Amino acid sequence: MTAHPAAATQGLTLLGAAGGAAGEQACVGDTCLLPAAPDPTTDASREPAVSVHAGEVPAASLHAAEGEPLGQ
Amino acid sequence: MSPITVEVWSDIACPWCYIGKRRFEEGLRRYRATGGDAAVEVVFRSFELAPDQPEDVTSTVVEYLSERKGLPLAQVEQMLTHVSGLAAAEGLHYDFGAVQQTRTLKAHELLHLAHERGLQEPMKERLLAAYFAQGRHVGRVDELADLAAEVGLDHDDVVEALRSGRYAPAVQADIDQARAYGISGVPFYVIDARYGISGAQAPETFAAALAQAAADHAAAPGGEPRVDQPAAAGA
Repeated sequence: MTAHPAAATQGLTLLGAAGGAAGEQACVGDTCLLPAAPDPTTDASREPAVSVHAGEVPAASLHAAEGEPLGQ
Repeated sequence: MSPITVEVWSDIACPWCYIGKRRFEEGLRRYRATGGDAAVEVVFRSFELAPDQPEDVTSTVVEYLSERKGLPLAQVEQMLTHVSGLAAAEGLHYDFGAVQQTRTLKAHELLHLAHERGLQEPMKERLLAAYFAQGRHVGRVDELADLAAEVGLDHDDVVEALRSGRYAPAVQADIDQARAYGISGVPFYVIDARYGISGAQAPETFAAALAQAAADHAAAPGGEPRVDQPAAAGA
């Protein structure tokens, strides 16, 4: 499970969902977290997010939410 | 009373950012529908998701993702079809087959120019539609100037500004401020430098946040909520 993008946010009171499907609707580093297409044979609420890249940045950027600099 | 300030860190090449823009707009509409009358100022801040992206990328999004992730083309197409469906639910018509991937630095510079001219919101909307729905190239100065002219900016003024890189420091300042906040994903909404909302959340989340901010303004002496904004490094 990828850390939530706001996990390391400083000085802000976070509002709204901080995880789960709502919280994953963001692009982290150059990686956008897209939900997998629903499989009618499974419970859609348990469907894992699928990460896809939109640019030439190492996959480690997936974990930038741990407090690493962004956009580097 | 001062307006509620909503700063939106986002990128052009971010499918969730366009979806989030629509959901925020709906949230603002719902806030108004429930009697919320506080002035709201929205500012789009820059965030480059792929700063090392070249100006021209020859592969399609599907080809690129398939190669990058080692996934079959059909599976990538299915994923993009799904996110396109989510966008369509917000009234957006993504065409990933036409998307021209590129670095978005110049587009962000243009957004800063547009902000100075009071045209940032229509410029942002135009850029997102150009990228996701119309297959336009948002990394080339001449094409950006054409898009800018459509929303009322001067074509030659835009060309000169983008070629000079005059707004590049402002783009970097936004990125530095995001870093100071610890923001690592977009879209990310900062309200009155106090509240943060991560991701393209539901309209009711935005409506509730605006109501909370309005209550803060009403309760604060002089209508100005106290703000402790972390300083960007080197700022």
